[in-house]
Amino acid sequence: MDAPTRVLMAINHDEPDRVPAFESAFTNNTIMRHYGIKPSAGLFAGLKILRFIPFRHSIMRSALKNRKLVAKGLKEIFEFSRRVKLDIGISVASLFPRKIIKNGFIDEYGRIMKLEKYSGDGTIILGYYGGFFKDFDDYESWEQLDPNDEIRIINFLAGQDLENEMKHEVFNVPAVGALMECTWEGFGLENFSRLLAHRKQIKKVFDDRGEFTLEMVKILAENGARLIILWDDYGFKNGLFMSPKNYRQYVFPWIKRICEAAHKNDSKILLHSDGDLMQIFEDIVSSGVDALNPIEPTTANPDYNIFKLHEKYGDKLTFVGNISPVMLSQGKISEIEEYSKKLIKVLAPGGGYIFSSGHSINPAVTIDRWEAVMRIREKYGNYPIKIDE
Amino acid sequence: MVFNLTLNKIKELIIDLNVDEIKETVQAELDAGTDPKQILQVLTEGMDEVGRLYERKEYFLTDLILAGETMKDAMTVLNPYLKADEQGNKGKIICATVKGDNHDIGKNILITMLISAGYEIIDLGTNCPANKIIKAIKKTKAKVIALSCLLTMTIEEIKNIVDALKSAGLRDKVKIIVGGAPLNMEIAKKMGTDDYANDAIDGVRHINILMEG
Repeated sequence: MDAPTRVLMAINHDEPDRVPAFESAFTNNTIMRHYGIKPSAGLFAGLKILRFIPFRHSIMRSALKNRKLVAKGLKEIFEFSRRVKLDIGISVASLFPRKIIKNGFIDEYGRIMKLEKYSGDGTIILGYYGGFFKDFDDYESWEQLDPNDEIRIINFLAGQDLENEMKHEVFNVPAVGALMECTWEGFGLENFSRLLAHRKQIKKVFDDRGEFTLEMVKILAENGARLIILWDDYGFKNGLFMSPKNYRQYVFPWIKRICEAAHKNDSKILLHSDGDLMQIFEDIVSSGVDALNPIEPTTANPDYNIFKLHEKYGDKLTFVGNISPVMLSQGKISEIEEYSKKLIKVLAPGGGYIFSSGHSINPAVTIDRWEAVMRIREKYGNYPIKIDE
Repeated sequence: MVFNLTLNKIKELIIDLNVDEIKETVQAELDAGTDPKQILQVLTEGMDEVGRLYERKEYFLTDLILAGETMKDAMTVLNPYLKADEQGNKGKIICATVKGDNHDIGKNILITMLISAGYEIIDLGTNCPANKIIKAIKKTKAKVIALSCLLTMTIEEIKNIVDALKSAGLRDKVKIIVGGAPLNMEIAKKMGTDDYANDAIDGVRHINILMEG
């Protein structure tokens, strides 16, 4: 069975050949090298050079418009995914650099992003360093995102080229920044919180983001994307960033329209949101989201528990995730194995579950712990699921 | 009577997160001759109430931050009227995000709440190495260090700081409290610290106890 079929069957609550696997971010040079992938400096090296070159922004855009070059950039992670049997490779439709700065860039959402080398194994990490917009006027003077900008669809098509080249062993899934995370990060949390006090202004900002994401999803789905990832953290360890009332007023009406547009074009939506989402979980489900990642296991809320949530929403939603990143960096192999086994045993029968960490694979995750997870999937993840007590 | 009503309005502006009116209201109260210490008192009461609303999940992170921004705006007007010993008279706290971690949201919220609670803060910023913390302890004689850590890969840095404090002969002179997404009390103890707080409000409560100890 190929990866797109495997993933889509699971999302449709059917049983494929084995439980699909996914990671929203894989930043760990040690593990990549272990599987024979030599991580390149990629964006890090590119930006370092570009910073000192005239016409750097034109050069950068030319590179992003070059489908072959973009495919070359994506190949490393797609090839790694193929080798470790992760079913999804991510192409991107937004979050592109707009302005190059020292050690990083300001992206098109106004987020100041910097690249850093992890001292341990040299893994390059893209970190958020604050918002560029001081206030609403600043935001209004910024050139808004254009969903028809060709760099977006080219990135997806480059991913399609790779998927075809790999004979669909990896499913190319485009990701787009959505409403909340990119919005607050463009301002920084302090300025964003101030903006929330001004209803007309914050509505305009959310509507701009909603309109862009909706159009982007339509374009991707019309061009053959069968699954689309929305990056949109709504919460953190202790709860939601803003009130459920604000989410219901500004965010979920758009998420509902986005899901409807995707479904109309035979596409599915995978929402990635960190944090404790308990207070808006019903809203996420009723908006029409097909799959949710990562169901963070390290929140402070004991009721935000994937097994309890699955009991209630298992027939309406595909769960993607939940292996604790702390466990993956510090836990005992036996507890990682037991928990991974439990996830498969309880959540995978009947489809509706995709195996994944409960956040991401960061440089602190060790090879033996990662292999323990993969071993369990290999041993117990084939359908029909048979795990004895 | 009018005097009390206006002071009450200042408290309500904090609770209502009214960042647009706080500066002029505080200034008007000062111009009317009210004791700055009384204004500080109602601002703190307002922040305490915001903390309670946050813990009851009636307020959310952006509300907590907006309350902090409102408090900060009020303090820019009020601070010049307060005597030096009326600012941060409960003691000194060192706050930092550990080396390798650039996240400062949690740390900054804690700082706002600690200032409101009457502490003087030495903010060492993000990506803070152990030697910078040691230098700050020697210089300020702070009794409590509050460390923030969001990234799983920087958890071990907490232990490095504890070990560096031991080597410098300072470990028994300070209490260390930690907070952040990947942490809990078990990990905090494993890393050799004294305490863990679940969020900024919890952090103030725990630091109050550590300062008494």
